[in-house]
Amino acid sequence: MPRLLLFAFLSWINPLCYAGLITQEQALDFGTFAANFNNGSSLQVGYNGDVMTSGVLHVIDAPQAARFRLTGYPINHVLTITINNFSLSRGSGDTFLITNFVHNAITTDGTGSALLFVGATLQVDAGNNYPDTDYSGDITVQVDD
Amino acid sequence: MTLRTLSHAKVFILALVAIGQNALATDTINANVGVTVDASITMNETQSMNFGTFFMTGNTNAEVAGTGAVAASRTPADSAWLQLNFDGTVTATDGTSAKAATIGASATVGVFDISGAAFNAPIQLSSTIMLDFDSTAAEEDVDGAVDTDTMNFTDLQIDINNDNVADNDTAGDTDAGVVHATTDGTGALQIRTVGRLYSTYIGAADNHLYEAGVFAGTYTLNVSY
Repeated sequence: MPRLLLFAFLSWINPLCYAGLITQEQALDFGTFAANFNNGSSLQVGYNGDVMTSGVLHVIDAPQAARFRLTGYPINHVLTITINNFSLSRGSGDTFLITNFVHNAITTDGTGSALLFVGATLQVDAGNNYPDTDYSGDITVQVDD
Repeated sequence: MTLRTLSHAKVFILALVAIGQNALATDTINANVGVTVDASITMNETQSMNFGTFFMTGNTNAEVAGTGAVAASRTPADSAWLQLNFDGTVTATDGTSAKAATIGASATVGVFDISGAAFNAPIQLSSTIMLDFDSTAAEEDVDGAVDTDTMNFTDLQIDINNDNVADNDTAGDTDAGVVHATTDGTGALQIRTVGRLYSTYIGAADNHLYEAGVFAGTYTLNVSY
């Protein structure tokens, strides 16, 4: 009888063991821009896709926010998002700092899922040398329930 | 089942429930982020500036006021000068010790095509010899092919909208001499340039006459955001 009770309990408690899954549906992309690199400037994309610039910087192809699908989390639960600064590089030379991350408030729905939208700011440092080319880097998104 | 056994099972269940409710999970994902820089602007000269054919004598005295003087603070005294106008005409002005006169042949303004810039974007045009509010622009030598006699080219002016009016900032502010313009919806713009050609002191040889022939020089025009 104790074994039967334990089996029933483990079957019941299983839903409490969460296996969160993060899937990227759209990459964070700062698009294409031109700037006077003698001066500092910035390119900001909001989590809702709004674009703002400062300094002498011109958007050529529009940036886009990142979109991640979160599944397998506790239902109706507030999740905590953590993203650290990182840089975009062409492999060598001067880099762009990516900072000031913004995202929507995340509360899972009745199925334990949520959509996470992430925006950020790209900083152009005055006097740096940024040749025309592609720059890339990796963002690490941490989700805590 | 004894009461004792059941009691142990309850304790075990409560402990596991407590563990299940308090466990915090951390998940991470690494994803690529990118950006493309396309900041180069192309500017090609499609027509060279040409003052046509003219007569000019050299100064008999060294110019003390300096050349490069449209805005007056360095009005030359001895030098004669030729002003190339945006309509393609040339205006000649004598100095106190030099003379100039057009002969009337085919002067042309400089024409530059800008492309590859951001659409509808503000850009700046500058040069060390651009006309500014205090006329402190540098000069470029225009040298003859025959001998070492030299004319001075300076006071570069730029028309950004084809209205035959210079768009140089001569207001005396921090952007003195800079021309501000805006690219069109394709990131392009055509500009036109004119300037002034001043006589210099060339000594008494040849009775202060410039040798007949072609005189040529270069000037640098910069475009940036």
